[in-house]
Order: sequence, then C-alpha cells, then structure tokens
Amino acid sequence: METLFDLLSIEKEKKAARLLLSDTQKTFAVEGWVPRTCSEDMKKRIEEEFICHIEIREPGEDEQPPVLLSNPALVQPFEAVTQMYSLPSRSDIDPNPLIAPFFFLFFGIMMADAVYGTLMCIATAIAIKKWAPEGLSGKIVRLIFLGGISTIIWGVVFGSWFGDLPKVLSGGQFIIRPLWFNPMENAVLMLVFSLGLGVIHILTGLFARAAILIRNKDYAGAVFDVFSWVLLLIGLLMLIPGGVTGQVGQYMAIAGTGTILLFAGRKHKNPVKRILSGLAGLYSISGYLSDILSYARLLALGLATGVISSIINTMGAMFAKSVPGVLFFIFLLAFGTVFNIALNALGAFVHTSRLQYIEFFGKFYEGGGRAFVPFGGKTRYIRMNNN
Amino acid sequence: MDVIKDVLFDGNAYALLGSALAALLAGTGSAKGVGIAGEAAAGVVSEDPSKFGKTLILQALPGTQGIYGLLVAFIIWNKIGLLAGNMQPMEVQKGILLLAAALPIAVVGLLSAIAQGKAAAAGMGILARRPEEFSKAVIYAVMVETYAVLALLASFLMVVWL
Repeated sequence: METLFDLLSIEKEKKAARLLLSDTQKTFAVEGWVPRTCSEDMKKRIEEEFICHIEIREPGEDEQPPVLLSNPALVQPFEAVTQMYSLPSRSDIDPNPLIAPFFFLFFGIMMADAVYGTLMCIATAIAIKKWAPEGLSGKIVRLIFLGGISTIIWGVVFGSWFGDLPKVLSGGQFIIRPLWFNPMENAVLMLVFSLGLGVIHILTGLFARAAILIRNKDYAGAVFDVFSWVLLLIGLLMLIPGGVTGQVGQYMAIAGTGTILLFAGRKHKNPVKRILSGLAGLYSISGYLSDILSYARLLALGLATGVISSIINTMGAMFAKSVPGVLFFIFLLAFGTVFNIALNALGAFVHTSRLQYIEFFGKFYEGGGRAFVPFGGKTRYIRMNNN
Repeated sequence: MDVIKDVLFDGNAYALLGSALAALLAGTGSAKGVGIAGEAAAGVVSEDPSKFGKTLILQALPGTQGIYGLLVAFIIWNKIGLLAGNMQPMEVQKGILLLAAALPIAVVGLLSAIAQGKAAAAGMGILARRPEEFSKAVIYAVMVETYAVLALLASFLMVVWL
C-alpha cells in the first residue's frame, strides 16, 4: 500500500511536470533552474543518454532564482529557523551562519540545566537514530539536539542540575557550585549579561547590514545609516563605566548623533526638511532601546525553568520521608521533569526564534525568496538511494 | 477581635495576598487564553486531524503567564519563609511592599494571556489555510507575550530587591 502510494505520487509529479513543458509531437523544450555546482554534471549526463541541445546561462538581472541553501553540517539545523521565517531573496545574504552561534547560545541560556540538557540530547539522538527524520522536521530535531548541548553547558555555568535537587535532597549539605554564578541569587548580573548579549546580537545585525550595503556599493548608506548607529550605541554603552572610557564614549555618541541628524535625511534638498527628517531618524533610538530590553527574556525564561524545577523538588522533598513517599517523589520528579522540559523547550525555541526574527532580522534581512524544489523523487514512505 | 488584629497587622498576610493574586489572576488569564485558542484549534483539527501537533503548540503559548504568576508566588513564599516552614512575624509595611511587587505579573498576566489567546486563535486560521506559514502565527502570539515577560521581570526584581 505504501509503495503504491509512493509510485503513484511519482507518476503524478511526472504528469504535473508535463503540463509545464512546451512540446510538439516529436520534440519538447524544458526550462528550469539547476544549482550552479551541478549544472555541468547534469549537462554531461543528459547529453550522454539523449539527443538534445542544452544551454546553461546565469540568471538575468530581473529574475528571481529559487533558493537552495548550502551550509556546513553544523549550521544546517539552524536553516530551519530561516526556513520558517522566509528564505533569503537575491538581495539578501544567507543569514544562517550568523544565526547559528546566537541561537545555540540563547536556547541554552533559556533552558540552562545540565541534567535536562543531557535528557534532551538522549531523546533527540534516539529519535534521529530510529526515524532518521529528513527535511524541516529533521533539521528541528537536530536543532534541539544542539540546543541540548548548549543547555548542558549553561547548566554547568549556572550550577543547575535538576534545578536545585542536590541541595534539596542533601538538606543544604551538598551544593554543586556554579562555574560562574547562580542567576537565581544574582538576578541583576544575569539581567546585565542578557542585555549585553542583546547588544552584541544587534551590533552583529548592523554589521551584516553594512556588509550588504557595501556589497551593493552603497557606501554612503553604510557610513551614514549603519556606522553612525554603531558609533552612537557603543558610545552610549561606554558612558556606563565612566572615567576616560566614558569621555571617549561621550564624543563617539555625539559624533554618531550628529551624523544621523545631518545625513539621515540626505535625500532631501531643502535643509529644513533634511534636519527634520534627521530628527525623525534619530527617533529610532527608542526602537534600539526596546530591542535591547527585549533580551531580558533570556533572564525570565531561564528563571522559569529553574523555579519550576525547584517547585517540583521542594514539593517532592516534603513527601520523601517514608518509602511510599520516596516512590511518590520519584514519580513526581519524572513527571515534572518531562513537563518542565517540554514546556520550556517550546518556550526557549519560540522566544529564541523571535529574537532572531524581530530584533536581528529587522536590522538587515528581508527574505521573500522561494525554495528550490528539485523535480522527482518526492516519496513519503520509501527512501531512494542516490544514483 | 484579636484574631483580626493579628492578621491585619502582620505583613505576612499582605505578602500572601500578593502571592495569591499573582498565581490567581495570571492563572485565570492563562486558563482563559488557552481555552480561547483551544476552541479555534478544535475547528482546525475537525477539518484536518494531522494538524493536531501544531495546534497544540499554538494553544500552549498563552499558558506561560500562569507559570510566571506561580513563579512570582513561589519566590514570595521563599522570601517570607513559608517554604522552609519558619514564617516570622513581619512588618505591615514590608508585606504591603511585597503585595505591590506581585501586582505587575498579576494584572498583566491576566490581560496578556487573554490577548495572546485571541492572537493564537486567529493564528489557527493561518494554520488551516496556509500551514506552511505556521511559524508566523506563532510569532504573532509571541509578540504579545513580551509584555508578560516584562511584567514578570518587574515583579521578580521587586521581590528580590525588597
């Protein structure tokens, strides 16, 4: 039954492709897209088998070629994030290599538990081994596996093993010290750390925008619209430590502000209009402020994971004073852990994605590309070997 | 009379009231939000049962406010020693401050969860007609949650710093 389904799907696809051809009784013409890396190979193989004429050309100026992403194996799972938003258009760069490190980092910070991370890695490794998922779902499973590794790392950094289970079980005798600090005890440091990561993320987005503008030879845009903001943002940050750094930062911020004020409205000839539109440009500082504050969710979601696990632990420890109590505790721990991981992995996934889509992509990425869908071999139940 | 006096002039009563409001209002909001999204989800699944998993993701999104409320309640209990079982008498002023600290997540949690439930329910329409654009429906709902996260932070930092 399954084989039949696949066989018929292939036939259906062939029939659908026929409709796209322009043919006479004896001849037909095919036009289509082929990835550049395999175009010569394809030409050779078809010419060996059939009598035909094959012409290969680069896409024209006004054409929108379909997109096939090509990234190293470690970055590939993160393509799922871009795929769920929108594929890059011709004027974009492939954002995946930029997304990968930040997604990895942010997902782990929001989960941050060494034991939870291990469980996530084991579960996803079994899923990959057993079902060998492909396509988008395959990428997402691998993404959660990598997220699990990051969760372990941050769990060790923040000293979270099943939340505070070692401490609760030993009655405060045995505490696994965090490698850096415990966000539950030092929430302010965690908040500063979260916002700091946000600034780095946003600056990376701005640099990506500058790179695109420079590639398109829009040097004025890169200097006046991007580097002026970089100067202003870094200058404002340098005000915080004060001293000589603060002095330098002050001048950088003033230089950045001046550039934006004078040049943001450079397309207007009228000087009054130009300054007014410069002022309007400067108003986007509020946007940057809210973007940076948005990274506070790194702290909030990390706390949610930690506090829920400590609720489970505290509740369990109240019962764990007799044999049935201990059994109940184990049951509670197992049930609570699955619940907590499922809920917070979903939360970490959607919130990390949001940080990429709104705060990061907003700086440089447009999207709107369509996917390259190769002809042939779309089966549901059977996998075909290459060749 | 003395009982009333004991309760009213002990800060613990106000702190507990605050923690109760946080769990109660934010939890009510989440229940309502998840319910609204669930009604729309049932409609989508009646047409195409294979979308159950995705409707569940969208339905779960307004559920986080309830957790944020419980989270704030929990750290208040921790603060007043209810968890460790050694609740000490507390000044009325301090109790009222803790009550105030619980208010952001209580009120914002209630309203944002309902609003998020509506956004998630509308997102079910995307899932029904354009399932490939599912992640955009999720993002619309997550946009609402930002304000619950900010309220959680406000409440959390107030409780920690008090």
